[in-house]
Amino acid sequence: MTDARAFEAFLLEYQDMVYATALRLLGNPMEAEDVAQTVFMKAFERFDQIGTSPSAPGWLKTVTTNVCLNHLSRYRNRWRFFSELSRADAHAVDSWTSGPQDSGTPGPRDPNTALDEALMKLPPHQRVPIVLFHFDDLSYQEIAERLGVSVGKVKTDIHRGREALRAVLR
Amino acid sequence: MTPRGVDFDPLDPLTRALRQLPEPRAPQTLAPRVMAAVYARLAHPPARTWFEWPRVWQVSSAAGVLAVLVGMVLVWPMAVALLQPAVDEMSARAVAVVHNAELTLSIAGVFFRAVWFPLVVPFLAVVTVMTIACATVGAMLDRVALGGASR
Repeated sequence: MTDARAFEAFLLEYQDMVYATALRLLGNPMEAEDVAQTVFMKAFERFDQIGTSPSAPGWLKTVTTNVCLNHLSRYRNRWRFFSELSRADAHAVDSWTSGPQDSGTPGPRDPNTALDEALMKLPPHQRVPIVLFHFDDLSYQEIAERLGVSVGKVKTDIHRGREALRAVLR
Repeated sequence: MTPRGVDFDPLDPLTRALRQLPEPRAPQTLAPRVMAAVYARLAHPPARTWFEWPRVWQVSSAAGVLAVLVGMVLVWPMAVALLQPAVDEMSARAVAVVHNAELTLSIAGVFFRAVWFPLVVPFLAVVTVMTIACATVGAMLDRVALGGASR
């Protein structure tokens, strides 16, 4: 039987990495926590194999990414529908240009916080490729294969997402 | 670290800012809820499929199934020889029951044909005609003799 204490140590060591990956891909803390739990339960099922393996972080990251993409694919139709609407993109850029609407507190803000919030608020079809590109170091081709879209669409979405984020930095 | 296939300048402010973003920390609630799920799993482990059984169990179960199959093949002729009289007797009884049922049905058919057509059909015809005739006569009497007084 798996040692629960050993697994708890494993969990405490990697929970930030798994949660961060899920949060950046999903943009929703509640869903990220659910996904993190799912990933760790999968890890628990094969803890005998990965518990002491040096490839555990990579395994966790890959499984987290896959679970998140599966989660998002449930909304793929809506995602594709909105991704075709250039108006939505324009609106997103406008909203970032004018700053986050729910900040509530006037005055200078931490650029990291603003950028993080802007990244979370990007539509999934822009946020996911940007996260896979900048945080998981996947190539355009790999992202296109993972998402089941064309390389051109990946480039376009990353470009538009970056433009929206760049507006926050200005 | 420079992503593969990148055509963004690593010195670009946005690229640098993204790289320098701090990793979000897991909420305090994550570890307790995962461990709760782990303890629940340990308390009620899900049934494992055959492919997840230990190797010894897999080999033993496969050998057991094979033994049962071989036994059935070997025992089958003996079982047939043993059961054949009983099967024959049961089939003979079934044939007799079916034969009796056929006979009963044919008698019922003859009776039905003998009674229905010669007696019941004419009787129903007479009753119908008489009913219509009575109704007609009643209507005529009502109109002619009583002058529609019943209405």
